[in-house]
Amino acid sequence: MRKLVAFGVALSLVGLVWAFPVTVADDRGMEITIAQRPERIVVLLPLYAEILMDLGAEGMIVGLADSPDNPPELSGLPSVGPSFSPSLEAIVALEPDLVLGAWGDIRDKLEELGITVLTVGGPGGYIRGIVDIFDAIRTVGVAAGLGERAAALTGTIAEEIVRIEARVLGLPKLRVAFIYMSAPDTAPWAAGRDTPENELILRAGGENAFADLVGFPQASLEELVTRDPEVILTDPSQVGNILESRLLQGISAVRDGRVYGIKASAAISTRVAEVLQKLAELLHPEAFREGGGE
Amino acid sequence: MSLKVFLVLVLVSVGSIFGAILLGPAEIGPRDLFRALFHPDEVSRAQRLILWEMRLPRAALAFAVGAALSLSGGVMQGIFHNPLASPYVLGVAGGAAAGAAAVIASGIGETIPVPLGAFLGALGAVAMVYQLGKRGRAGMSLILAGVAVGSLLSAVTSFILFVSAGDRRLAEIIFWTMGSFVRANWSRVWLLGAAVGPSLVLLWGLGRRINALALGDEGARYLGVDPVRLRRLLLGVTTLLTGASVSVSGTVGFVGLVAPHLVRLLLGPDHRGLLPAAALCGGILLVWADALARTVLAPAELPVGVITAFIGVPFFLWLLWRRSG
Amino acid sequence: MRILLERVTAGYGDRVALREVELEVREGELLSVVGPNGAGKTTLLRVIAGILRPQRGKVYVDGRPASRLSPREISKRIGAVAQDPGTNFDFTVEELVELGRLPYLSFPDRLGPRDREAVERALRLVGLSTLRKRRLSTLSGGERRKAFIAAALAREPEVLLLDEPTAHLDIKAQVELIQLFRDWAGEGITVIATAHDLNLAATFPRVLLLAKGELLADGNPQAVFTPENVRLAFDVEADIGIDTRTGEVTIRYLLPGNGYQRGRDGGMDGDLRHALGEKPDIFGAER
Repeated sequence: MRKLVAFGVALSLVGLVWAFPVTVADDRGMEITIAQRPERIVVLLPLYAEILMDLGAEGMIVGLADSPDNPPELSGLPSVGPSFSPSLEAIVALEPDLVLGAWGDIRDKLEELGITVLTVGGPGGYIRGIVDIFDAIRTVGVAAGLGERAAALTGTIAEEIVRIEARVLGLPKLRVAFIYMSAPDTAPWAAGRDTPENELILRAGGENAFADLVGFPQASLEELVTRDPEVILTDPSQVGNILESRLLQGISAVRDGRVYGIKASAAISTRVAEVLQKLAELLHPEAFREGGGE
Repeated sequence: MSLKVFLVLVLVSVGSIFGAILLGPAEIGPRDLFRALFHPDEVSRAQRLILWEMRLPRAALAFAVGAALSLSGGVMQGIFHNPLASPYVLGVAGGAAAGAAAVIASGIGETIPVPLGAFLGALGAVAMVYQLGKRGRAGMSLILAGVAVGSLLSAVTSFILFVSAGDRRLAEIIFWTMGSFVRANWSRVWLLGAAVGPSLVLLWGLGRRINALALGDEGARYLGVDPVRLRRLLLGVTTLLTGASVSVSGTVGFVGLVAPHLVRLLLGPDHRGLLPAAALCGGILLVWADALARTVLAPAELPVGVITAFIGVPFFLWLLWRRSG
Repeated sequence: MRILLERVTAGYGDRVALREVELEVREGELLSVVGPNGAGKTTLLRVIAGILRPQRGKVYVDGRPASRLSPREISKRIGAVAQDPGTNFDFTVEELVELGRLPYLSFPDRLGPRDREAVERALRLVGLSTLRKRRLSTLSGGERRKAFIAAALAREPEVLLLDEPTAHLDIKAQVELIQLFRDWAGEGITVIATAHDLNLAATFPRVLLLAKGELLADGNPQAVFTPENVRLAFDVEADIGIDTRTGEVTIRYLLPGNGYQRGRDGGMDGDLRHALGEKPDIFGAER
């Protein structure tokens, strides 16, 4: 936690002097140079829209890819197609000077056409956790010429996270599985390492029952029963699927009624601390009664 | 072939390309196109980019791929005496995709190795299908071998990309197995054009000899044509064409089947007319299929293979039914 | 063009289809080749046309070994039409006949005035000039056969090889074809045609009788069509009639119950096997 604070402080130092052109590193480790303060930004992933809003720069956004996680305040902006497959042409037609969150073919084409693209996080712009979120805030802040505000924002978020982690520090660690199950009694997808779900579990005072896996492999029901998690987390729409699974009736989490719905995509957000707070309360309700802890 | 039909097809081709580039999520009308053509300063940079760097290379690539696959299909139908033959049905396109995927997975590079891998993959598929198809006597066995090899290679492609392409894997698998012109740019257009142009001239010049092959091996031999050598040369050219088109656009199915047939209905089976006309016709078909793929769910985009399958599969079944009936 | 076969043995892989055949054909001869299925008729045509190399023995064309001639050279001088020539492809008569010029053409195979003339002549020779734009599928069986023969004639051959040219044709078409062959032979074109119908074959001045790959008899119809030869080759009893005025030969097959009793002299199979000194070929049919 101390590291996070130090990280935030370091960021705010970097953000003291601001002048274009600026150079930032993207998810591929490539140097992206932004020649001047962007005026027309097209945003393809909701996290970037949220960051710009939090930095008070929503006025720079001229177009947005559709996503259920988009900030509702931006719903009036022109759409460039669904976030998972945006339209190249719709983006170009908006004449952006910066495109945030493009990857794959769309990024290749935009760069071919000489349009600046900035994407951060893991390969392909995948946000693996809080560090990537901070990286996104910092990088977008620098790119938008708002480095100081970005540093302040990451500082605030880091502080909140540290406060929550302090509450659950030292408490017995629960065995938690974060799974997605599209229908009762079907093989679930389990969150392994290098996923935001994994990080949430750890920071909220649990241990991941599937920590030996990486990413989101499909695990068998049998494996889930064997690992017998004490708490199961899933998307709110899938809680029923787990509770109704006949084959899962015997495992601890179901028996104890500890199957909780939590929207992981909400954690890929500047609101990540709120999500973490909610999760920590679910795992360790005792730590949050009558303001105990600090 | 009658020159008139050919001229009409050329005009329709040009018209299709310019018609298709008026379609897309961004509003660009005929007047904007006219201005962009003759008074380029009066249109915005975005419009210029969309027209000349996105829509035109895309339409041109679709046209070239359609031409390449239809040429291949027309030749294959001629040399196998089988109206159901086409690069997709015979698994050649699937082999090209597997070859390209293998090269991508090995990380050697892009510009030269991917088309080369596609060509080698296509060659492997041709060899397999040809050997397997030879065993059976019935005309159907070639098609069955092609379908089997094609499915196997498509699975190989998916497997390679699944284990190697990381988080791009789904996009890559869809690209290589369903086909798309998302990656169109001028250098891909020139690459394919360099394969299609000379092949078209060569195949047109060999048209009469391909006709001789249609008389059967004995008939061809009596005409002083060595059917084995000629078939090998033609297979080489079609493999090259298929490999080149797959390497720029993935496997787009059924164009190579449909276009030669439409032309045969229109002009008859003489390959000297059939092949150039099929090339144009296939180009036109694919330009419009891509226009549909870009617009039906705009601003989202369908893989163009979905559209060609919707058109091609009923056509394929109709051919089967007509043959057995 | 003189053709000479010297002790030619030919076949496909292990299967011998033609054994030790000696044959000389002179310019302008009109030959029919008969024999049961699998006797080697088609193989004989293939060897003469140079598309099948003899396993043993030699073929000479005008005294020169045929193996020295390129396939292209041979196909200029020998026009051949395969058995039941058909195609999945519905060409027009003209497109088909133009194919006959292929031996003279090179890439990109455009026809010159000389070629056009030859195509015209070939169409005229078979009487299809007016049907040139018609597609093959719209023609009668006889017309279609003539179109394929015209393709062979278009290269102005010295020898015409025809595999079963009259099969499946109605009588009128058969008679027309035979008449055409006679005309062409008169112009110095050698015509060699295989046939199933012995009476039709007997209208040719020279007949080759093949059985089990061997040349059983070679000569005029009277010499070839003896009851013994027919029995030996076809395992059928026949009455042979010879018109004393014209020398014309007619063959009448004797059916059991028409006064013919089989097995009178111990069965044909035994005789034939003895005569040929080999086991019967159970696979019979030629490729």
